[in-house]
Amino acid sequence: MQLIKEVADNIAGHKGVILNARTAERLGVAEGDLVEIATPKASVRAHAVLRQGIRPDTLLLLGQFDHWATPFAKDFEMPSMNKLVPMSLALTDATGSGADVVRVSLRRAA
Amino acid sequence: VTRWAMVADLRRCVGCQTCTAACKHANSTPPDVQWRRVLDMEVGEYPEVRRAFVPVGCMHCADPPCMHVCPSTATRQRADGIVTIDYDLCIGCAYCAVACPYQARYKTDHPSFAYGEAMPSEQQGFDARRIGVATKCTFCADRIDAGLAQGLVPGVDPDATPACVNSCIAKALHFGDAEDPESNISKLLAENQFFRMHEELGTEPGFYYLWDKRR
Repeated sequence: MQLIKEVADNIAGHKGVILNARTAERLGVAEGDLVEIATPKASVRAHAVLRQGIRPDTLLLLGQFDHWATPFAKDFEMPSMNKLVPMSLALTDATGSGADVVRVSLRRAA
Repeated sequence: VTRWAMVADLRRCVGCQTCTAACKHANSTPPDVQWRRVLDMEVGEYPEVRRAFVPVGCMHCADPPCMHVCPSTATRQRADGIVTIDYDLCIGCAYCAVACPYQARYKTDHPSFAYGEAMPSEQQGFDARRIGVATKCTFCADRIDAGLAQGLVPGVDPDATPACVNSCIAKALHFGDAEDPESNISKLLAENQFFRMHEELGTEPGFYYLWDKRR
């Protein structure tokens, strides 16, 4: 697990949330800053990963499943998208894919 | 003469990091030491942006700055172009790590393992001579030498080929003899556009990147 985490970290986004670099600049968010991503029902915190190759109005969370108990993995501080996305059968298609998209707010965490 | 060299096709690399993992397994490198690494780069600004995955590591330069600054003659060059480090001669000054324009050299001062205590696999691969000295990609010289002794062809026969090249899922990494005009990599270099990293420094890297220049 350590090795997989180590090599995965070479790919942008495994250390937090990917957001457009210009959007981040407008919001006063710098690389590595802790930000809070929130819906009316839930929020997660993540370190900002600034990239050019993403829409200015979109955030990307690679992690979906969270780790709360697994030794080692629970300390990755990898933000989980499932905490934000509502679990709704009505939004789940026949292949089992959910609607992994949700409107959120973003602000620098205090 | 033989000149072992690597070719990375940047049009094919998908950034999967399998070469990095394969290298770590084959060479038992400790955490955060990556003799083979793949950079995740972006070129341009949104929306005119392209992503490029760039495998890097020791370039096995024909004129290696690391060798010139080495005060103990630990870093040397084989006749076949592979740049070597003699762990018994290395005094750990790390001049080479500073001199290398490719950030290819590592130095580990203390034994380190994935979860604190060494796992059995880590104990097996642990080499005490690597502590406190410079280390880097060897082009898997031991695999090349063992393969050649069996009459195998490096870059063609997996048993004689660097672990990263064997592991590549996208056929992006290639290895072979750059001096042999009939070799696999000579053909790739003849048929494609290529560049070498920091060519302007005159280090003459033995690592070529295939890439279509934009018109």
